[in-house]
Amino acid sequence: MAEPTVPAPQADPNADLDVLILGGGVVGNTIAFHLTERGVRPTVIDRGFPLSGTSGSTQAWIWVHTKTPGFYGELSLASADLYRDTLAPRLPGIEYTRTGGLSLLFSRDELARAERLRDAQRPYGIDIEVVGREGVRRLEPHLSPEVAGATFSPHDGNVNPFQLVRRLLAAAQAQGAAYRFYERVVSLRERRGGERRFEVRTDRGLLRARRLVLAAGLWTPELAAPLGVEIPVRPVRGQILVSEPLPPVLGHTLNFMRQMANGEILFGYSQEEAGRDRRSTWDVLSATAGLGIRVLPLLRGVRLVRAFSGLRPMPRDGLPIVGEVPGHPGLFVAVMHSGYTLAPLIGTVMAELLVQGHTSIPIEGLSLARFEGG
Amino acid sequence: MLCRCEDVRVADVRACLALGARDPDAVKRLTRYGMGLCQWRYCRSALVRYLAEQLGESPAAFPTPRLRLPTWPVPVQALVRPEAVAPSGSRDLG
Repeated sequence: MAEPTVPAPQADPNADLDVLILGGGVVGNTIAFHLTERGVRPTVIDRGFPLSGTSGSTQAWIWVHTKTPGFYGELSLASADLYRDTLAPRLPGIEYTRTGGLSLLFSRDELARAERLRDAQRPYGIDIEVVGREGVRRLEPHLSPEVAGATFSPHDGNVNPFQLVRRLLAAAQAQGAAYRFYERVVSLRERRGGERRFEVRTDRGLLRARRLVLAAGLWTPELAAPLGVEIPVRPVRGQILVSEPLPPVLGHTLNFMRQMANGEILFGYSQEEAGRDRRSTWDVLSATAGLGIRVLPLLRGVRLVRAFSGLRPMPRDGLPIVGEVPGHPGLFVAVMHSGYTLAPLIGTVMAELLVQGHTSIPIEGLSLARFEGG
Repeated sequence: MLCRCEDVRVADVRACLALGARDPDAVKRLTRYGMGLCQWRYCRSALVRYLAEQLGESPAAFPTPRLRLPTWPVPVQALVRPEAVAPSGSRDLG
């Protein structure tokens, strides 16, 4: 038998970490950044480089107004406000833009549903205006007259996902967070008893941490399983088309399409049960192209430069799973579908939880405990 | 300059290395290198050579990129098939 060429991993005596975060996507990075803002220096492990998973495959809407139930909309609104008031001023270059958002309607029946949404969201502070065909054309002159109406909200917008993660990461690094990229977690153990520790074995060694944060999106369930913790999250595929850069033709974020600062139009909103198959498929791209032209007819002759596809982590009930894991002191989880919309809020509350032990807004409704017995 | 479509320079790639990036895709996402009209076609080998040199690796150590559609820019209309059904917008997840 051949001698192993890699020496067996040894425990690093210095690796007795305070906070270890598994996952370096937008969620792991916002938690790391907000911790360093409060003087905590976490370690972050990612199996590749940030943006190689879900966080790099998104239109990055900062989307509020159609999020239901109301308390979820309210959290999304609080997060959008944190972007405007705190994060965007703190991290210049993330291109957060509060464009206002339009959710398009194609028939009169949908107008009634839109009015119900408007009324249901109002008590949560979410402003929605139902606009008809003419109203849509006033807001977005290039949209097709086929669009029968829309719900409009001033709260929605978008961000540059690459620049957001880059700047969170760079700021956290500058403030003392340690990053370990291209490192794969092999196994997790929880040592109970006197000195409670989490032992994380990776393909490069053994790390010990007092507190462990699971922020690996889709990959969280398999990380948590050895601890006897079930995280009910499944992949949902989304495919997006990218146009060549155009002059400004779209002022708002539509929950299907948006124009980036460089002029490219991103469009597509498929939700496919495809397991972990991340490929682009002709049927969905074709349907997306068709709907794109139907909404914005000038796209017809515009050139497409790229198609991409990504897997969203979808919790079983669609709502974020955030907080300390019941029965596992020191173990935290932060997994959600809308990582970009919620980034400043989740970073803030997770830092509060890890530093003070409590949060400034109630997050009990997001606990993993809600799935127990279900 | 290494990527002409997106105006990415050697110094920008060096900054990615300083952040810990070690593969072409990571540089792409951090800088938009190769995300312009040419979609890697003209600029990727220059990046791979530069990274290999900086990291002391063989250029062959970097995997070839995932093939993305379309392989050449085409009008949006070119993708539409008459029988295609529009994706349902009935659920709001955004």
